[in-house]
Amino acid sequence: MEAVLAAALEGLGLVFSWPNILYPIAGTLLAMFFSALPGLSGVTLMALAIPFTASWDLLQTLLLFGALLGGATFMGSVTAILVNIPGKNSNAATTLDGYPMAQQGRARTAIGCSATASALGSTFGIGMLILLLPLMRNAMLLIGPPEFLMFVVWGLTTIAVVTRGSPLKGLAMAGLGFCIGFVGLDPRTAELRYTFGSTYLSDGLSLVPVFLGIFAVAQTAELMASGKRTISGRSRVEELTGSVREGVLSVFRHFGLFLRSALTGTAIGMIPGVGGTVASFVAYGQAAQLAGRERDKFGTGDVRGVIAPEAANDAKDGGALVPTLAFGVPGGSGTAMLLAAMTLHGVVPGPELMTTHLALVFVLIWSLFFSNVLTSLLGLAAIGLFSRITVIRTHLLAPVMLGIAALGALAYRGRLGDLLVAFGFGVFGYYLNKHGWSRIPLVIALVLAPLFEMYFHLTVQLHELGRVYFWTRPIAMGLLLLTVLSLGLPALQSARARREQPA
Amino acid sequence: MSAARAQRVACTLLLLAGFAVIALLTLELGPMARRVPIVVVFPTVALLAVQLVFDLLPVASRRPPAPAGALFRMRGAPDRARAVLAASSEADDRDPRTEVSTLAWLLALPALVALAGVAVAAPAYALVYLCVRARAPWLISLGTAGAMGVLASGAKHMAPAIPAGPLWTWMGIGL
Repeated sequence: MEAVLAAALEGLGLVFSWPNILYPIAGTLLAMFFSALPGLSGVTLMALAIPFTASWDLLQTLLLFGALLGGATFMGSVTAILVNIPGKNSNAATTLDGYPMAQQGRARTAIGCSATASALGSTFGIGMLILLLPLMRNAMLLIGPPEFLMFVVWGLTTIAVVTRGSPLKGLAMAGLGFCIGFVGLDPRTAELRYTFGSTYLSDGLSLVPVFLGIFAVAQTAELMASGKRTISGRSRVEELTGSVREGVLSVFRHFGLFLRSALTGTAIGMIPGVGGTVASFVAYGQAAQLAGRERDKFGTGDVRGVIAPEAANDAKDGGALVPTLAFGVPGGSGTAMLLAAMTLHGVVPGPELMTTHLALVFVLIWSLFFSNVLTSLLGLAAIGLFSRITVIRTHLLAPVMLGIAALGALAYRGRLGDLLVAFGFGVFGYYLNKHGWSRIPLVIALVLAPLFEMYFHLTVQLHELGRVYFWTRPIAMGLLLLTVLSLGLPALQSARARREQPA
Repeated sequence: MSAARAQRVACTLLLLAGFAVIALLTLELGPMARRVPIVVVFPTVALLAVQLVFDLLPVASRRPPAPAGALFRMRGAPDRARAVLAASSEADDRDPRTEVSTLAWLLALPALVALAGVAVAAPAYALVYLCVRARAPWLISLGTAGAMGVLASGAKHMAPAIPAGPLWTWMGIGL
């Protein structure tokens, strides 16, 4: 416990020292700008940032990525409230009561409530993460290669099954991600795999151009093809009315609801793949179900319908860092980007990170916390200014985004192949998205492919040597059972839903 | 079969064909090198084959997919949220001409970078795109192109790996 406290203080000192503090501030402002643009997102920004941070110190990179991760969450709710378009899918639940509040002339109240619930929710999630850190360190001593292997398999299965589209498509995308990760030299035999005789491919496909393509280029193509004049589809900014103070106070008036929603968000965040969308809708559903006779008010502009999803959505960030930092299994696309940035700096999440580099873990945590609070404060102070982003013409953004993506692809290694891979994957990602193939399992599997391969070989080898018997490990068996359940439950539920549906 | 469904089937078919090639390549690998890929590739081929059958089967009503799978199907999950999410993720009703033009514009940038180098290509692309496709005012187009030029030269200082020259100066570096 003392080591954790010492690392927490060291991390705090590193974040709030000059000039380190500039990184989370810059990251927060950039994330706020990007996440206020429906169609683009904080993940796009993270994909663009990875190549430029490859030559930075690890400390600076963690400061920036912590801020990018935290800064993106709140701003998506601003567009959800003002124009009924969620900046991220996880902000969709906020439209249900946030937009009716804006229509009733209470936009400022809704935004004040959202900012307060977000800031307090993230504080709660991060507090829970800090409390869980000592437990995580002890738990990892019980874990060997079979458990890590099953954690990767379970995490990926959950991600594939719960992301958009059919579970079949999600699982196939995870398979594709693994196969892309297998391109290049086999780590054990140095045999070339899937290279088609190309020397470029013999090094394997780098994460940087693939991520740039799948997210930044594909998202820009989506923007270019959508034909929208402005991002929000409107040409002027809505007038902001209502009282911010009332919104802030409403969170404290419904503090029990806030705590329940934040706890729900943190718990859901810990399950790999089950991200903010599920957290916010489950919290919204709980709030409505527990409202008793007042349930009918939900959906008509009830402030509780803003508090619950916003608290859960921000609290889940702290929870999502638990599997990411402890087991190297990212909970979603944002944490996958963070993991990719850390891997480029030679840091592998897991026992080593949690013991020898604990101060760096806290740098990330404090940066995330700082950015969440700063986003809410800036959001309240300059909400009028930020809401203008939604009327920027999309055509102006497209060439800038593509130019930055091209620079990013070349910045990493200066190879033409990386540029071609980025734009090739951009076109591929565009079509995947168009036909309902989620890209999230693909990128997470791509990040996890080397770990999966390493733990698979280690597990088989230890089993063959008679050192570790897979079938006698209770944690591995428990995770195997969870994997089977994650695969089976959606099929059972959809069969039941089909039976219950009237013909 | 509607055009959208034909495209969906074609997409699945292409993925399946790609994986069939990967499966054949996997079988040619040595026993150690194929140990892990074989566990992934063949189940994925099976999944894609099942998906293709689903795509080909006539389905009476295709509802927008639930945004978060089974967990989303909680009591009272609001249809409006489903509609908001579906609107933000579905893009089946695109004009094919707009799509082709988008992809042409998209691929023009790497081509231009290869021909002229990124320092020239990035601002030139922004200028041409804004003037021709976006029909933006000259002042905005020139301003954005200028900003891209500054960004490209700034990025060159930040990341020295970025090659400044055109394709022929990179021969042997890239592919």
